[in-house]
Amino acid sequence: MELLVHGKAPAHGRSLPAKLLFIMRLTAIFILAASLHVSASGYSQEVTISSRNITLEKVFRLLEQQTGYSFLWNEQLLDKTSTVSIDVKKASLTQVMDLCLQGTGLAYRIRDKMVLIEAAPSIRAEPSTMALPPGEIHGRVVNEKGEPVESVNVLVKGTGKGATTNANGEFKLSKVDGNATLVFSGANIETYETVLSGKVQVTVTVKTKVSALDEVQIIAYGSTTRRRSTGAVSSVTSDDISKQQITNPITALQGRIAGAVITQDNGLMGSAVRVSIRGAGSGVSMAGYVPLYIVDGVPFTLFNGGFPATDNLNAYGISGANGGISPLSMINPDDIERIDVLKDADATAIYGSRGANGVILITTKKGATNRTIFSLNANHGIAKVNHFIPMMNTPEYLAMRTDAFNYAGVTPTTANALDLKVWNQTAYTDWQKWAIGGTAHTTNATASVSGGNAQTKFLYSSTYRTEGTVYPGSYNNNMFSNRINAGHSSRDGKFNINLSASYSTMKNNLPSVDLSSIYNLPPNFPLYNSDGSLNFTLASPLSYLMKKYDGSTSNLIGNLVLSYELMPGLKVKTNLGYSTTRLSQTSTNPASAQNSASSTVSQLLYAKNDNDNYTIEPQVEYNRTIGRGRLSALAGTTFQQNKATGISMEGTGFSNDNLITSIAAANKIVIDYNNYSLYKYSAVFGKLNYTWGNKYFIDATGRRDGSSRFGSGHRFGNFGAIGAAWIFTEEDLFRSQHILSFGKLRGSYGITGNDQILNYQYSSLYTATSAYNYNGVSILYPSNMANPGLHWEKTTQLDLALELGFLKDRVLLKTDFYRNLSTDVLTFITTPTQSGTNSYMGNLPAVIENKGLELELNTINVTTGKFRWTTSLNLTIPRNKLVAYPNLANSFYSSSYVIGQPANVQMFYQYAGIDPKNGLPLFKDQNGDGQMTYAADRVPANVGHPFYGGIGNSLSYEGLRLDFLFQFSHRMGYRNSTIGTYPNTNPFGFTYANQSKEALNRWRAAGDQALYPAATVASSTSMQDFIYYSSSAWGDASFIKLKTVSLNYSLPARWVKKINFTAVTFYAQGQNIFTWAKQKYTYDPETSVSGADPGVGTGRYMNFPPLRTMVIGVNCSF
Amino acid sequence: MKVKNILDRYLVMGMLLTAGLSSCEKYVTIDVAPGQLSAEDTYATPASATAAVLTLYSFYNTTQYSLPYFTVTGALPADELQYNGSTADNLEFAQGSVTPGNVTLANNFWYYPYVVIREANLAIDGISKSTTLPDSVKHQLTGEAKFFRAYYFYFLVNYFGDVPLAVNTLELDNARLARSSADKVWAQIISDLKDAESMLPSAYASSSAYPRSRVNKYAAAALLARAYLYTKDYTNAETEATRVIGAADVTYSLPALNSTFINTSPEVILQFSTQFGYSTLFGSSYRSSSATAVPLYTLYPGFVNSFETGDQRATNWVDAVVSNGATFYKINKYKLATATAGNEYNVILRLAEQYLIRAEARAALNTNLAGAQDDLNAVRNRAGLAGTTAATSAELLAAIAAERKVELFGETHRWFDLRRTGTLNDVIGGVKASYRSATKGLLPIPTTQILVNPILTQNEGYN
Repeated sequence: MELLVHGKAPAHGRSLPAKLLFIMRLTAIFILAASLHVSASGYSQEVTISSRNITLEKVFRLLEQQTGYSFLWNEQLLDKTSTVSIDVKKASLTQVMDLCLQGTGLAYRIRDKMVLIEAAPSIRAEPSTMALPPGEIHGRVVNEKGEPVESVNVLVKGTGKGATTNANGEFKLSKVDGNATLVFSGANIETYETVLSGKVQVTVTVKTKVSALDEVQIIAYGSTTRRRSTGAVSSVTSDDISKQQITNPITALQGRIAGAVITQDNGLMGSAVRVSIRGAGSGVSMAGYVPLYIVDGVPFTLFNGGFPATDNLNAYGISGANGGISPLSMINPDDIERIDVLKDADATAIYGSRGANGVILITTKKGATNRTIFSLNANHGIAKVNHFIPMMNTPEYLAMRTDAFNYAGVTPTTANALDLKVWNQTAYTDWQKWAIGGTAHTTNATASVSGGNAQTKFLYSSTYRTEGTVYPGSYNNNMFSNRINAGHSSRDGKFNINLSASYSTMKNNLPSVDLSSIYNLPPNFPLYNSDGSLNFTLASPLSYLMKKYDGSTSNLIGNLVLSYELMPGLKVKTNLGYSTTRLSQTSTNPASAQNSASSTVSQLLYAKNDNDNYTIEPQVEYNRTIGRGRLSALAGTTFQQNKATGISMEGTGFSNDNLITSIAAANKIVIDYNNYSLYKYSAVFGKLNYTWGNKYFIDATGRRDGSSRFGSGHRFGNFGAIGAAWIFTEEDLFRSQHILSFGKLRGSYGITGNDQILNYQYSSLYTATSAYNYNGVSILYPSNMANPGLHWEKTTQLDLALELGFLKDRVLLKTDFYRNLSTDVLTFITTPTQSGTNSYMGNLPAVIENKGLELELNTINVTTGKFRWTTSLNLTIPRNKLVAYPNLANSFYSSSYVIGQPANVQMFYQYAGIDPKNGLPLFKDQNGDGQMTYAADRVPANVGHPFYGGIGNSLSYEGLRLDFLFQFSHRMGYRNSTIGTYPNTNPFGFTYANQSKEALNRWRAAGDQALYPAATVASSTSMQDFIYYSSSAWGDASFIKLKTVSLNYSLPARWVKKINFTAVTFYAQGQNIFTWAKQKYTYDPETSVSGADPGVGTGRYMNFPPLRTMVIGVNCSF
Repeated sequence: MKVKNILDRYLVMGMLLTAGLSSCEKYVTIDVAPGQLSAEDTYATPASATAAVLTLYSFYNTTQYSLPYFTVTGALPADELQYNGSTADNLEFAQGSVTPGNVTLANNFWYYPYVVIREANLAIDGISKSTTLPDSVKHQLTGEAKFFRAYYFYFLVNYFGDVPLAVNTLELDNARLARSSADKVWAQIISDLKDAESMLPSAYASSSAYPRSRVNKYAAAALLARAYLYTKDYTNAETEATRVIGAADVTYSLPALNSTFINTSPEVILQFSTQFGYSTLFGSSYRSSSATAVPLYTLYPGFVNSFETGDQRATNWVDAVVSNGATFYKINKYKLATATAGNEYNVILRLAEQYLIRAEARAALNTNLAGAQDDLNAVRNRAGLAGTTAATSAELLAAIAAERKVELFGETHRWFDLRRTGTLNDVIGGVKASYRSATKGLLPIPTTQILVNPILTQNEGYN
């Protein structure tokens, strides 16, 4: 930050050449000094001088001694004879400078640790050189650092007169009595009074109030503070991120953001992350709910028209055990300064079409105007699965199978019951321990260097990370990531350039199938047949280890921001972004890993996919003061293109399994898929913001968007929002009390859009493929069902919030009420398959409401000199409802939706226990017609999340700090993933599948009052279908997770200094420490299976769980 | 002056805005992806129109779609195939009591046939609208498309009874259809096959490298003969079968048993060539690449007792493997189990069936019993058996039924034969304890489909 302060201007400006020379000299000295004076901190900045008639030169010498700042001046400038009188105690440097330069025609700049004295610029002084009309006062308000303070209310005491300072901290008042008292007040300053005593030019230094409310928040195309924000924004900072052992930065938000449900599909490296903000996507199957990710201004939502809508890198590639690959796993969490989640229309509407699902802004760390800092963060840890599903042992399993044969009256033979007749009756393997019982090792090291001066700043960071797995055998994931951020501004501050670029590579080798899926192998299943060959009666776990997946990803993100201030208040700016991701994958299925009973052909899947994304956003920004208010306006356009291309091949017939990773060695090559997906998007947008004093804020945004995903006549949509906030504690009424330190009411209303669908769906197309061919001819098949009327999905969003601060902001409470109404919801509309398609892309006529209450509470419980305890709590109470659906009864959704019920309503037969006579399940015949029908006998079940959230605590004592976070979710769902949910819809003992211990509670003999039906090898509708569509496994599936524990110890500063370090911190951290879940029959209650669940992490289907990770590490800087 | 200035300014701004927006409009207008064609372009040239019609053959001939399931899984409820795997969906078929939630049922038996039917509908429509295709191409391709529509409706009506009759390109209208009576479905099948027979030439459109692998006039006639037989229109069944058997411009004859299923067999009326990388679906299901391994599908031990003494089919078309002390009887019609390039295709229609159709029609009409005997004997003699002793219409019908069992096993005839002859409950009830006679041999309508189209009714025996 460079600042220029001037005292009373001289009557004449100095001649330019002399000044220029001076500046050049100074700059040279400055650069030299900056590189030498790397460290001068530790000096007090408080100044005490009491002297009469001393020369300026002397004052500067005194100040040098007291502050440690160096003073530089041109001898010719200083009038050696003129003297000043100063009497200040514990004043700031700038206060003293303002005082002593008053009326000297000199100005000063503070840069780094230097004070440069120069002639006051004549241009800036111009208005003041004119004789002011009588009673007119010109003034300026600065803070302790000498920085101008904007939006300070200046009141002439006892009159209604007042003004507000502009961006330069300046204000003007007219017709003011020469002896009037001015009162300066503002949201983030302490109130200050001064008597004019005839002065017509005043510079006032005010004290900044320090509050969490004044932390900078990043918002669309700019920044604000929590105090002044008109939108619903929640954030996490690098501080929160650094406490967690995570590899995907988005997972740092879990349990920390009200209104956002965030889950990772599974615990394998790189796996996909799902984020649902304010219920987006809940209920409507397959509608895209991927939020817009923006990394340093570049859109990074790599949604490339895959289906279901995801931003997975491998949407058109191959999936290994980890399923989808999240592009965000390529961003090193250590590089992130903060993540801001924009939730309401006011915050997101400026992103128009892309904002309907919320916006996540990721801001990476920048260099500081400071000395050069080197830092290093390294850790090593271990990770294990922290929960295994309780399964039956061999005797229990065999008893169940025997019961199943007896019940059906079928005789077990060596053909139909290998487990009872052929396999060892006493063998036992705990397949979960076998498959995922190992220990994974992780190592992570980040090194960075940053530095800069007032004009140029940079930061470079580099990370290496390696992670293992808990699978038997050696699999790992290596990531190497590099990032540079550099910024420069011209000396006059008018021209700014900022470049950030990152390049990362990730290499992932895994089995191609997730081994956690073998949990239900029979406990006496032998791995080998008697002749030594692999046992393929069921999926052979050993064959899984032979099928290997390799994925290499590289990712480049570049962003360049150029801005130039054309004239005061008017700035032109261009944001240029480019990102490219390359993914290359192989997945093998060697002949030796296949069942010889069916065909055995060695196979290689080979895919290369590229995703290139650019965005160009020219903007004009205008700021001016109008009355006591300040207007800022922004207008711009966006051009964005996303192009995904890729090729997926299948090679078969390798002469040797060792050649299997080379596609060139295949006998036959089939091109499975040659993806080409182009998406173009353009928009014009504008934003107006008006701030009146520090009390009233109004924000209006508008945008017209065009998307290539819609056909002619439907490409453009208009979106916009208005938001307003009122800080009522700024009103006089609240000045006399001390309990409520901050109070704000805000609200917003607007419309956002969504176009997350496959490309080209508006027209009917035939696709050529050689993957399928007939008689050697590549075929052409109708690839979609055209919908020319496809148009934007729109969500109208309302947000009302009350934000309060108590006891000097030690207690901060933020409550948001939101209501989002989605119309024309884009989804693959399920069609009866008798039409020859199972769905088509369309706008559902449904009106879906997502409303809820979000609460964020931050408290400083204790803060004494050394001990500090803070708590943060967030809680969300969401509700989802299908408000309207015209002609629902005649739609394809007549039996899936109920108006007034949640859109993800689950219709179930009501389970009525077991018939003790025969062990068959009973269901309530709702209409009493004597038979069970889908239409009439199912009733809606309780669904959704009554509430969810997180609570974190931070305790510190001197250098020691302990942080821990609990995440909780009260929700309805499947209570047992091993029973009654697909694919576990068969009766116990139906085939070779072990069951959880719950199967011990089954009916065995007539008269049993059992919990579960009998085991049987015979299929029956009531045992399979009715139970699957019944409430038997549905209920409370709540959970609490101890998500993060972090213990840090920072060495005392005096020790660190001795070894020339600035900070050394040792830490021990744990992630996913413990989970208390009602559902014990899944690995983790939050995982999802790609393509299976429409919503976010329900834990319904079993998938590899996030690991319990414990690391120790050190973080130091010098 | 001032007003004009303002007007000018707005005019300029308006023009700029329009220019800006129209350039935006241009920016977001994209061409179709390379590798895609509009429907109109697809049916503009003979080559691309043919590529679109070949889709009907190709997709559904791989291991994933309907035909493998129709022919193998669909045959499980009968008394010929035993399932040796542990996939729950298949076990339900093997028990003869498929539940309505069965996913294989919903996809492979219900959905995928309609996918082919939709593609056939689109092709028929696209070809008829084309102004550039020559008539000969239009006839060839429309005939093939109609054959496929009939072929898949034939399976649907046999597996499910009444089914929605989707015969146009209005997908959303088709989606709301109720089930049409089986009679109406049969009428559609017969009408499509008659059209196909009249439109298609005798010569196969496939090159000699892929013999007899495109639908010709006789393939349409052969399926039409079967359709008439199923609908008990014996006169027409006899006429159509005679057309195939007596064909003068294509040679159809019964070769030795071991040559029946090779792709140059003169018995073949229609066969689907294999995809590269895939074996015949019969070979891969009934054989295993290792001689000692048990294939997923084998014959019931009891089934092999159906062969008369001296029947060479019992030795040529069946072999055995012993595993864990139990004997498993493998179908040996196809000799190749793996995907290596071979000389076997999937045989869809063959001459022996036409003889048996004509024999049955003649026996049922009771007008030409000698002719019926001759036809039956043509099949028996090839298998090394003496002529039939059956003489009356009833005896002949029983003998023909028995002959169909041992001639056509593993080719998806058994279950349908038992159903159409009304002998299902007697035969299967004795073999399978869990067989539910109330279902009358029909599969349930998938639950998921009743949920999305409540107008669909469930078949009997599934509530």
